[in-house]
Amino acid sequence: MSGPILFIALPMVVAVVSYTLRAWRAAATLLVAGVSLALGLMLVLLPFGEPVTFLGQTFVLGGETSLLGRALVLGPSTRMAMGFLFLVGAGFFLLAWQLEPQTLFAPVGLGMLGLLSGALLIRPLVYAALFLEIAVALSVFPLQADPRAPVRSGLRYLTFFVLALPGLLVSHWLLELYTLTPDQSGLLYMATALIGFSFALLLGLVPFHPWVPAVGRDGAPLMAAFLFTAVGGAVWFLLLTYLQAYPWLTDYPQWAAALTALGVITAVMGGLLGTAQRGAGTLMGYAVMVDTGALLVALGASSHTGLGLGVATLFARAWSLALMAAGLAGLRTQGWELTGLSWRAPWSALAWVIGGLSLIGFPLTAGFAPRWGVYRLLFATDPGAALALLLASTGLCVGLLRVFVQLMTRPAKPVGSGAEEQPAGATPHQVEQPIVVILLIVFIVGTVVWGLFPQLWAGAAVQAGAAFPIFGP
Amino acid sequence: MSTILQFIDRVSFLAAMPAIVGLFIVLSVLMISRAWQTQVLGMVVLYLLVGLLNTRVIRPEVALIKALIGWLICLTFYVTGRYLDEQGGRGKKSLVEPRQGWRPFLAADVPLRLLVVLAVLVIAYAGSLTFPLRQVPGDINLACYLLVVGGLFLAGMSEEPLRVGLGLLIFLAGFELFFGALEPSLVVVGLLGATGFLITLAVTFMAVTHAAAGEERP
Repeated sequence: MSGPILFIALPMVVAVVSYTLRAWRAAATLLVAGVSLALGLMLVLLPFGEPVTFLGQTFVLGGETSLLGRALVLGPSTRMAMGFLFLVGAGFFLLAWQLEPQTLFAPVGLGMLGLLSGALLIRPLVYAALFLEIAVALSVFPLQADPRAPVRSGLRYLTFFVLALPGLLVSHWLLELYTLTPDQSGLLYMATALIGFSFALLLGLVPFHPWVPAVGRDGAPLMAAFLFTAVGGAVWFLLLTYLQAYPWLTDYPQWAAALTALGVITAVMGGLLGTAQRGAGTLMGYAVMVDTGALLVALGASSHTGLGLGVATLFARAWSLALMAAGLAGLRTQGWELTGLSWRAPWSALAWVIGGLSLIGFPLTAGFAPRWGVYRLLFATDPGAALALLLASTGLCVGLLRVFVQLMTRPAKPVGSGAEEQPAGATPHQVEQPIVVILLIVFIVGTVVWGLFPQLWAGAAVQAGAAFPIFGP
Repeated sequence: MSTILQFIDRVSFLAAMPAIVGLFIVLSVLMISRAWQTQVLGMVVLYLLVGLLNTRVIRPEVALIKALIGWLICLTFYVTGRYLDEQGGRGKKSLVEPRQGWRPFLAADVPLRLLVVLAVLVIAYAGSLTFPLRQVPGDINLACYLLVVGGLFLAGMSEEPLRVGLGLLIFLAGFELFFGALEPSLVVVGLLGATGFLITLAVTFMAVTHAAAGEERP
């Protein structure tokens, strides 16, 4: 089998198999996690472009093949992006094994990874938008898995992604037209505007951000975090692929200033709104907004360092969000109202708080090193913007503290005063399962170790960033 | 197939201004109606009219496939509407808003919605004149704008999953009418069809969970 097709077909086949095995939920979820891990490790560890024999089958990691007359190209940059997606997926599916075993998350999530891989592999890029859209439509099912939860998150998420589709499709056609008639620069401006508009919708930039907190608030925690990480990561890598394919996009003189301004505005808005929140899921959404702002600022630096920092931020986001969502899922098994929940689910509460701190770039956590790098990068050119970014994180810190106080407050009455809606019939468990506690401790320790020794993974981030030769050093 | 193509050829005189007038009427009905049966019927007619208009920009066979996908989407909405009606009959809260008084099929805020319909017409007309889509004939240009703007308004004016879903599908139908002229590839048609159908499934899934949650509706 050809390498690129393997990474689309195998996840989809295994997704269908695991769906049929859903009567044995643990086995099905572990199968999904195992396949995702295996594919991720293959992408990261196997030699690129050389034939590899496994179980009598020979295939080549890398190169180009054809599917339905369209090219699938597995280059070094796509390899790193897909490796990231599958490894992130493996981590999330492992958590789902214990925290959300009854949902469709694992099979649908793996199928989505196959589609997202397709989006990154297929050429021309016009098809990538369609693969992405199909993955997003599928994601609604596990996102709204809890029948008692409001459906706002799924609706808003779907709406914003549908609105982004036309821009990506039409811009491709405009660019093809421009190559035939290079004197019509209006085509280029129009294509740039459409690409910018579409990616603003997909990344949830201000003013297209309402779906981000909604997904955090109403969606199933692990699925919401998976969307922010895997779909968000795929969108980010797709943006880098666009910049690689159409290098003139970064040639605009306003490019860096516009990206930095958009990033800072998104982060400040997320920080400001996050300050006033008392909902654990909503705060997760606003923290993602701040993180997206930092990502844009890193990209706006238009340098190899900035790109590496962007990838490092994405790595840290995956780990932090997994921990935060695991904590939130653990808390929600106890009830949707937060008051006093830390006394019933201390490890889940700790996981949520540490995951949140890491996501906002607090010292001694995984998110600190890349965020510090972004501050330093921005401070050299625009100290005011760097300060605004720092204040946005501080705002979220206040929000985290408010929720933490709420979690620590012993309830005076059986029903507390949590800000998020309590679905009828939520039945609390008395204690956290030992295996859940072990998983949470592993992720908490990992966050601190990554924070203390960022050099352990900074190399991988720099290597992944270097796979996208967009900017100079 | 040849009989169907002959039929399409016979009704092709409709694939101009009459179809656009029909589209506007259907959009108005979808906008002011609240009965799911009316909305599903409206979508069936809408996909027929869009299919007719499509015959002018793409091959009739492909236009027919697009119309069939649209009617499959309508069938899915119909089954969901029936299911939710039955759930309502069993004492559970129905997705379909309870009918009141002498206006069983109309939304409560009809005057506002009529104003919105007017706004859709004005915006679509002004848009088609100011930013014409030169790759399609003039009347199809207006139809694209009508569908896209109408779909956006329909999706934006409600938090009810079925209505939002209808809005998104109408928006996509308008875009496909334009994009078909640019990219007639069958793979794109197939992928866009799959996208539309999956959006329908997602929306109907949310409609069912929405009814189960018993949320307050606007």
